[in-house]
Parts: sequence; C-alpha cells; structure tokens
Amino acid sequence: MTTALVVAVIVALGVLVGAVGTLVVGRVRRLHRLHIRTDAARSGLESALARRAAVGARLRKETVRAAAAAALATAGLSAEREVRENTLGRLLAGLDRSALDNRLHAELVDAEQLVVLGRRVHNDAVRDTLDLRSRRLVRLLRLHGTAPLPTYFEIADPEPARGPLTPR
Amino acid sequence: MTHRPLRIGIVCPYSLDVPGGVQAHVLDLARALLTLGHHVDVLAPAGGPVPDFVTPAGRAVAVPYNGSVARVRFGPVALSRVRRWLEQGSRPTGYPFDVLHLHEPTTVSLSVLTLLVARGPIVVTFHTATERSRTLSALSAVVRPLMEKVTARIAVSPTARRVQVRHLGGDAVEIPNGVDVGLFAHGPVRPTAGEPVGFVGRFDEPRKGMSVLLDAVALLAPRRPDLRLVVVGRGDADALRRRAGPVAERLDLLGALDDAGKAAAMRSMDVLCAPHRGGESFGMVLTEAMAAGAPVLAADLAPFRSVLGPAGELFPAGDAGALARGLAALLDDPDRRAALSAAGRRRVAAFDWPVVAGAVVQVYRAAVAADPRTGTAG
Repeated sequence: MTTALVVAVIVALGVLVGAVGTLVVGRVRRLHRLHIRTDAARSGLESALARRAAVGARLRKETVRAAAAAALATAGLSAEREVRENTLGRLLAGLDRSALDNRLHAELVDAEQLVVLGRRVHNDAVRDTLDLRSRRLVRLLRLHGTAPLPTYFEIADPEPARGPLTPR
Repeated sequence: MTHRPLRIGIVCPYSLDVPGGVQAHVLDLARALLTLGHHVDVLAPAGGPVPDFVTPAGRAVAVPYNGSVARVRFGPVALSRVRRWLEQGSRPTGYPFDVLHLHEPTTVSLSVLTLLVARGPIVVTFHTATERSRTLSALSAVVRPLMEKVTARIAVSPTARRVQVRHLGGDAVEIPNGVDVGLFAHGPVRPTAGEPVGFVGRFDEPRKGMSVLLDAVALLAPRRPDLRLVVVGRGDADALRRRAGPVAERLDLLGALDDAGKAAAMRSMDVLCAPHRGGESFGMVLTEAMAAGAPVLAADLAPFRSVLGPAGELFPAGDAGALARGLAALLDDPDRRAALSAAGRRRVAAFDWPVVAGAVVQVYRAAVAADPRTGTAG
C-alpha cells in the first residue's frame, strides 16, 4: 500500500519534471531564436535609418542636412535617437520634392519606405520577444539569461503613408 | 532604383493542378519578380506540367478548408522534399535563398513545413480572411512558436490583416493582390446584345451570392426585357437554371474561361455585379473588372470597400431589393457608368503587378536587412 503510494508519487514527480523540462528546453530554444531575430532586426533598422540620413545629408536644404547629421551622430536605438529621427522624418515630409532631381527623389522615397518597413520588422520582433519573456515560467527561471529586455522603436511613419502600402 | 537581384524562394501551399486564387497569385507574383530581374524558384504541389521556375512537390490531397476544398501536401515525404528544395537553393547558381516567401503559412501544408525547417529571412503572406476562423484560433498554440521565425508579414487586405492580428498577434504590411491590367484593359470585346449584367466566379458556392443576384434579376426582369445575366465561372449549370426558374432564359452561361476570354466578357458588361455574402478577403474580380473598364456594383463588404474606394458602387450584402434598385439606377444612367469605368481604370493602376511586386520586393529587402543568419547574438 505505502510502497505503491511512494512509487506512484515518484512516477508522478518524474513525469512532472520531464514535462517541465521539455517545456523549459522549448522555451529556451524559442528565446534564443527570438533574441537573434531581434538583434538582426535592430541592425537592419539601424542601417535603414543610416541610409535615410545619408540621403538627407545630400539634400540642399540646410535644416534637413543638420537634422540628418544629428541623426547620423547618434548610435543605437535610444530614446534620443527616436527624437532625432522624428525631427528628420518631419523635415523630409515637409520637403518640396518637385525641386529634387529624379534620381535623388527616387532614392529618398526608397530610403523612407525601408525605414517604415525596417521599423515594422524590428517592432514585430520586439513584440514577439517581450510576449515570450512575460511568461511566468520564463521570468521565474530567468530563462532569458543575460539578454537585455528589447524595446520598441517609436517614430512617426510619414503621413500619408509613403510606404509601399495599399491605396486608400 | 537599381539594387542587387534577390534570390527568392516562394512556397505555394495549394496544388497547381487546380485553379485557385492563391495559386494564380503565386505564379503571377513569380513572373512579375522575374520581369524585375530577380531569381525566383517556386515550390508547390503539382502532378501535371508546370512553368520552369516551379519545383513540383508531388500530388496533393484534398481537404475541406474555408468553405472550399484545398489541395495540399503534408507529411514526412513532403518535409524531405522541402529540405531538398532548400538545400538545392536558388537555380541555377545553387546559392542559398536570400529570402523565403511563404503563402498561407498557417494552413497544414508545404508552407508550414518550410517554416519548420527554414533558416534566414522569412516573409509570409496571409490571403484568407475568414472572420470565424476557429481552425486558425485552435492552431495558434501550435503555430505561434513557428510564427516567431517570421521576419515580415504581408496581408492582402485590411480584413486579412485584422484576422491575422487577432489570431496570431503581430502586425502585417498591407500589400494588395496584383492584377494584369494590360491583359484586362486591352483586347476584343465579346459581342453582346441588350443590357448585359455580369457575374464572375464559382456560382454554386453560396458565399459568392449568386442567389441574391438571381432574385434581383427576377425583380427587374418584368420591366427590363433586354436584361441579360452573363455568368463566367464553373459550377453546375443545370442546377443554376433550375434555381433561376422564370429568369433562366435570361442567363448566358459562358462556363470557365481563360483570362483572355474572361477579360473579353468583362469588357462587354454594362455592370459587373459582385453579390458576395462574405468570406472574401480581397476581391480579385473587382480589380479585374476595373482593369477591363466594367462599372462595378458590389456587396458592401469591408475588403470590397477598400479595393473599390470611390471607383464602384455598393449595396447591403444579401439584400436583393437593394441590388435590383442599384442595378436599375446604373443601367438607366450611362454617364454614371462611364464615370465609374474611368474611375476604375485610374484606381486599378495601383494594383498592376509591376507596382505590387515592387512593393513586395521592398518587404524582401527589409527582411534581408534583418537576416538572422548574420545576427550578432549567435
């Protein structure tokens, strides 16, 4: 009777540990993948921003060039970078584009589209990562290790959306 | 802008042996991308002859899905076929794909198998927009970890985007389905008499709303002796005639036509009617009609609204009386029809394949810039 009970408890514990272990291994694997994805998305977004600023630096208007230089001088995706990229984005949106030569105009539109998309790709990766990191098991066992918590990059998309989106 | 050509691998979940919206989209997209100078390989279930950029993944099995029958390929054999295709890489060079583009990644198909084993940037496109997609909800626990591998998502309409956001989380870039504007805009006009009102689609699928249109035609028939209902698409013709009853003599059933035949028929229509009851995610028939210059009267469904904009008229879905009134008003007003036709031709330029494929390439480039294979964390 007692022996049977002990055996049953041991078996139940074994099954539980096995199940939690499987879950933990799965979670760790997913977190690892998400951290890689988020890092890659961040570097993608940074290069898209750098490219937009580089195009901005070639424009004639002094305010735009100053804003582009300020954006280029900021490393990483900090809150300060958000402010500077927003300033640049607003100045670019207010630009009289009819004065630009075709080639430069095409390059500017292309760079702007890739910023919109790069930000979407980055924030999607951040959202998925934060979602998994908010799970109880992940927080409790600190399955994310030493990886820092990623943050969204929030700047205004040009209005009307100049991304490759649908006609509205 | 000139950029390096991309090596693109596209996976189509449904069999190319049968016609379908997703299949047509994949093949047209592939051709448009090739025209733009990219390298494109398509993996799709197929048993019959295929274009040379397609790698057939074997015959498909039929499963019921979204009110229709989907023909898909699944299982260990299909999985090894996917692996081989990925290892083979981009033809002819054999380099790995820069980016993979999976269509309908949540259906049990080659797309989800590819998601399972693929590395590198992945773009997915959601076509379906079934509001009551319980299958998708039930699967989300299984699919969500896989969806975490996706770099960028595309939805073909606001509706498709909303459905995918609700069921899978995350956001999606809206890029509409493309249409071959040139094919529909130019060419012969099918000779017709009287007042031809058109319907294009599988008319025996209830969600396509043929019964609403028949009721409307029955209301109009006594006072409009010249009214004809021109039907393009497959279905049981005898059953349709029986359902039509007294207005059966007004039907011109053209059956399933190729694109050129369909375009010629659309160019001849006084009004193209889309009486759908729901379950649509986009409305290819609307962009084809706009390209062909046919004035459109469509059910007031969210995806139809966003495709048509001001370039078409709407009636409450399922309301035969309102449809009859709308049809009569349009048939009596040639100026309004001409204005709609012109507005449609203008609007459809944004749906032309080169434009749409260009937008898709931008998403590819954003995904390639975020290539996890070159990530710093591992």
